[in-house]
Amino acid sequence: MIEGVLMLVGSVLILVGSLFDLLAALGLLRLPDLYTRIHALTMGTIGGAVLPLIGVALVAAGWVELGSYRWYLAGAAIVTAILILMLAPAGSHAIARAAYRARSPSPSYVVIDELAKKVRGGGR
Amino acid sequence: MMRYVVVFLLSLATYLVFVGSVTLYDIVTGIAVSSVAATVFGRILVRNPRKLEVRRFVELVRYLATFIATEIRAHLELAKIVLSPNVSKSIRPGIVRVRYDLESDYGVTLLANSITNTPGTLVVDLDEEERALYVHWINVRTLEPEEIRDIVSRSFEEHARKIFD
Repeated sequence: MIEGVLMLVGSVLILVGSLFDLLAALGLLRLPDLYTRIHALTMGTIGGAVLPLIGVALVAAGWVELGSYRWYLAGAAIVTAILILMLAPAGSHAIARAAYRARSPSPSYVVIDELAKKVRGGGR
Repeated sequence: MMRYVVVFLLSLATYLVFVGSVTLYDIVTGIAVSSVAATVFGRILVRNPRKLEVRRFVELVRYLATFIATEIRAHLELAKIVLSPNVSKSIRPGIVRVRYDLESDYGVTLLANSITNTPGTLVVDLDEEERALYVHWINVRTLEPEEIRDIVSRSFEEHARKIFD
C-alpha cells in the first residue's frame, strides 16, 4: 500500500519536473537576454532537476522488486538533489557576474541598473 | 572537540544515505572516511563550536518550508511569463540593490544561494563593505529599497540570521 503511494507521488513529481524542463527550454528560447535566460535556467535546475530527483528517490523507495538496491538508488538521488541545490546557484552567480564585469552581453530592456554606478564609478 | 563530532556525524550520515545500506562493511568504511574528513575539515567548517545548537537545526527545517513555498510561487510566476504571448512586454528586468544585515559568511552564502535559486531573482554581485547584494530581478515591481527587500530577501534573511548568526 505505502509502496504504491510512494510510486504515485514520485511519478507525479517526475512528470511535473519534465513539464518545468519544457518550460525552461521554452524560456531559454523566448527570453531576450542572458540574465533573463539564467532565470529560465534556474527553473530548469530547481523544478526540472531537483524536483524529479526527489521523485526518482520516492519511486525507487517504493519499487519492491529492486530489493536492497532501491535504498541505494533513493539515497543517491536524495544526496544528488541536495548537492545540486547547494552548487547550482554558485554557477549561475559566476556566469552572471562574469558577463556583467566583461560587459559582453550588456543587459537589455533594463528598468534600473544600480550596479552600473558602482562598477563604472569605481573605475574597475 | 564538539566540532569534530558534528562534522563526523554529518559526513557519516551523508555517506550512509548515499550508499543506502547499513551492513557492517558500510559502517566500517563510513567511519574510516568520516573520521579522516572530520579531522581535516572540522576546524575549517566550524569556526565557533558554541553555535552548534539544536534550535539552529530546527530553524533549518523551518527555512526549508519557507524555501519550498517561495519556490512554488516563483516557478508559477516565471512559467506565466514564459507562456505569455509577448514575452518582452511582460517582463521589467532590472538590477536592484538589496541591503542585508548578516554577520557570518555562511549566512550570506545561504541568503545569496536562496535568492539565486528562486527563478526571477539572481544575485549578480555582492559588496561586503556596503553589505549589499546586487540582484537582477526579472519583474521590478517597486523601486523603494525597503519594499524590494521585503519581496526579495526578507524571509530568507530572517531564517539565515536565526540559523547562522
